[in-house]
Amino acid sequence: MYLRHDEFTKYHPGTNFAYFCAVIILSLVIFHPVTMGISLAGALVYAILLRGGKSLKFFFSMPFIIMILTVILNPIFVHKGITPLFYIGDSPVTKEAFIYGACATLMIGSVMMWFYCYSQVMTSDRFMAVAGRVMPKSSLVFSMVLRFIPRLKNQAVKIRNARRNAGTNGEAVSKTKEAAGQMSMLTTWALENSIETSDAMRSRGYGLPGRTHYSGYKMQARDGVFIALLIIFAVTVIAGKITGALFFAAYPQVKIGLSEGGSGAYIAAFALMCFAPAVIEIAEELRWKQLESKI
Amino acid sequence: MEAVRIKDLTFTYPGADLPALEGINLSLEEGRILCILGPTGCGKTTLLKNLKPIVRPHGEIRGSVEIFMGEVGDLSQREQAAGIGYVTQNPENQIVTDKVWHELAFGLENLGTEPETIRRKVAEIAGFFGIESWYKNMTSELSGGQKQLLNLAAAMVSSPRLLLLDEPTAQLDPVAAADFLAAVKRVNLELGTTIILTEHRTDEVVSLADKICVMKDGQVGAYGTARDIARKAVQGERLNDKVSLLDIMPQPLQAYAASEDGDCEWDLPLDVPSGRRWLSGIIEVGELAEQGSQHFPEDAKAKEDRTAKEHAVEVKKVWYRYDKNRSDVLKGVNLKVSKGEVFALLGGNGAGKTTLLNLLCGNAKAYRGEVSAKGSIAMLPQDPQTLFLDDTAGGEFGERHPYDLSGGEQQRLALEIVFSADADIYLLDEPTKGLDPYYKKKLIEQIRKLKDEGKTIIIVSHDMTFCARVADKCAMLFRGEIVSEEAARKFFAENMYYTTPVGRMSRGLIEGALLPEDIGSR
Repeated sequence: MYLRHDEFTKYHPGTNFAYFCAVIILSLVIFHPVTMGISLAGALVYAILLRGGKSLKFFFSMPFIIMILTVILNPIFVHKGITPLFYIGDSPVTKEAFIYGACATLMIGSVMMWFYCYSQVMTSDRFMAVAGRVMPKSSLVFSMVLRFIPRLKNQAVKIRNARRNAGTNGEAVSKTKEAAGQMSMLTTWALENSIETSDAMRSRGYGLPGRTHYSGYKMQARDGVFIALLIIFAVTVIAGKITGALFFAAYPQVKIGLSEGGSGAYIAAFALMCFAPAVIEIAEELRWKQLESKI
Repeated sequence: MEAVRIKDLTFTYPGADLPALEGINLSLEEGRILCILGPTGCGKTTLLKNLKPIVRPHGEIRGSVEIFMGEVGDLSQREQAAGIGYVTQNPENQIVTDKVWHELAFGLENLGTEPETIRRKVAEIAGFFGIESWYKNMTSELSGGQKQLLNLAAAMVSSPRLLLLDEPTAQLDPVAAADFLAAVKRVNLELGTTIILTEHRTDEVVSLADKICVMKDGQVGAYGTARDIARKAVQGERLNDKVSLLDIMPQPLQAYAASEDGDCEWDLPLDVPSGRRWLSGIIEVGELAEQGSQHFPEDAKAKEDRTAKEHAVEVKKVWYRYDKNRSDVLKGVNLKVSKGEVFALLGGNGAGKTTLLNLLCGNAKAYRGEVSAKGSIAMLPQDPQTLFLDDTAGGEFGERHPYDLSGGEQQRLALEIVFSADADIYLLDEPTKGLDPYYKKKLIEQIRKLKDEGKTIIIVSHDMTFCARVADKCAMLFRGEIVSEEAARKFFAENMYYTTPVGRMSRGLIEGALLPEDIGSR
């Protein structure tokens, strides 16, 4: 399968993981129309960077439909708010419910697209590299399960095919007996083979105290810089939330921003966060262009 | 100093009447390769496992086993894990993790090695075994040969001084097996690792091993260099009532023993080059011409059969691929097999042989072309374990569970299941896998009997000697196409590389000889 490796994916998996955690949590917590719009835009841009047209196909196949439904359904079912736009029967459809729905829809869309990006970047081995440091035992089990599931499926198909052509052996075996036999043999296969695997593990020293963890990834200077910046931006955004600069409420009346200084700086910090992968990609692209022009 | 010294080793499984190993005395110098040969059930594996107590089965042990680090029983788990590498038969079951790089690191992680050191050692080992290009792959995507090479590399990553290999090539095709054994030789030559392996492919092994130990009934039957063993084999030494030492020796030696022609005690033919030396010595100039066509008596008959008999299986311009986005596995294959014919399909890995069998029995469907078979079909799949349904094996194996049988016994049980099905057409995928010479002979008899009953048999195999013995017709698949199809003897006689060892040894010296007995009856 063709997988585009953007520059941010080449960072340490830990950096990637921290980034996705920060962006997704903040997108959920900061309920503000502007930041959520930025978050969705950032997620979409990154998804396109990662997967091109395929990501748009994903966007329109699911998140987009859910978003449209939220926008339509929220004002129909929720009648809070003080500014009625029109009435359906006796129930008012309010401006506030409509705006709330629009904001919620941005949040849902952005979080879904961030998870889409997450699944593209954090493949199983990249996730393992992060998880292994925290819980080396469970991460090994995870790796073994990932190996075992496709093998089990494969063996089930092989047994079915083999039995289909085994002939009847004179006496016809009933369908239930055949199915039960196949199932029991699949279980036996799994157990027997895992005994051999556990021998192989013991033979290579599994179970000795002081097991270390190896991931094959190395933290680089740019990972440190990225994480430092990520912390600064995240703290800024949270400060904006706490001080009320990023306050937003739809009911009973739409109200944006409580502090007097405005919210520009906080929103800028959040925007930089959401577009960081794109910024990194463009910076890298420019650097290459420059290098090429020198050659 | 000796790397391994075994003194009076006797090992008895719990509840067994007779010991599995009895009075074993063996010693091996550092940096040597020892190959243990012997028929199934002679105790090869048990002996190997006694050299690494963490994998040793339960049982009563007497005598002593010493390796360079001391008595093996006294070694700590850590010393055993790091100092003794161990690779077994089944490539699949020894792989623990889902990624190649992680598999290489696994042993070192267990030993508590620092990540920085792991990085260096894993890189070194991947380089040594040429794993770089598939280093990042999923282990499930590897071929059987790659998996076993990965197991070898993973065992070597802690740089053990002693490497134990238990029939490591039993489940590999000949090309992958040769690659694997070449890697083993390199480990020995470049790192000086002492290696003990059990094998049943003697053709490749005699030129690899410094010492050979032949076991019979849990005892050392013979021990020495390949030539020492060969001399004993020619003298007619037996291993048990079913198998003689000669049966497990390379075919050039069998040909020599069959012909009793020429004296070369000093240079017994053990491989193709030494076989040619011997043959060219005994053949008179001018004798060549008379040989000619006398070895194709079946050829005319086969031609007659083709026109006279109806077709049991017909494949017309068949195209197949596993997935829309993948390339074709079969490309316009045409094939006709007459009723009552034994037909062998040969070809390298990925040539489409097994796929073709799957199409014939209906496990897969061609996307273009036609497949038709007249009569019922029974098939022996590549993996005998997929055929078992009952908890007891039955027949000669009694109440034992099929999974408790050895690889060769499982294969025999699977064959029994398939042959007991009253089918018109039998499809056999690698039927000789794991069988020793005695049961190979019995299988040939069984196939001939079925043929006489008018059954059709289609064989996919890498075992060319077996095909030359049993098949009426052979075809070679190459990249999804049939490139040649001929009466069996003619097929092998005309092939340069894709033929039996005796065929290669006698090319240009005796035309048309393919089997040891052909040379004998010259």
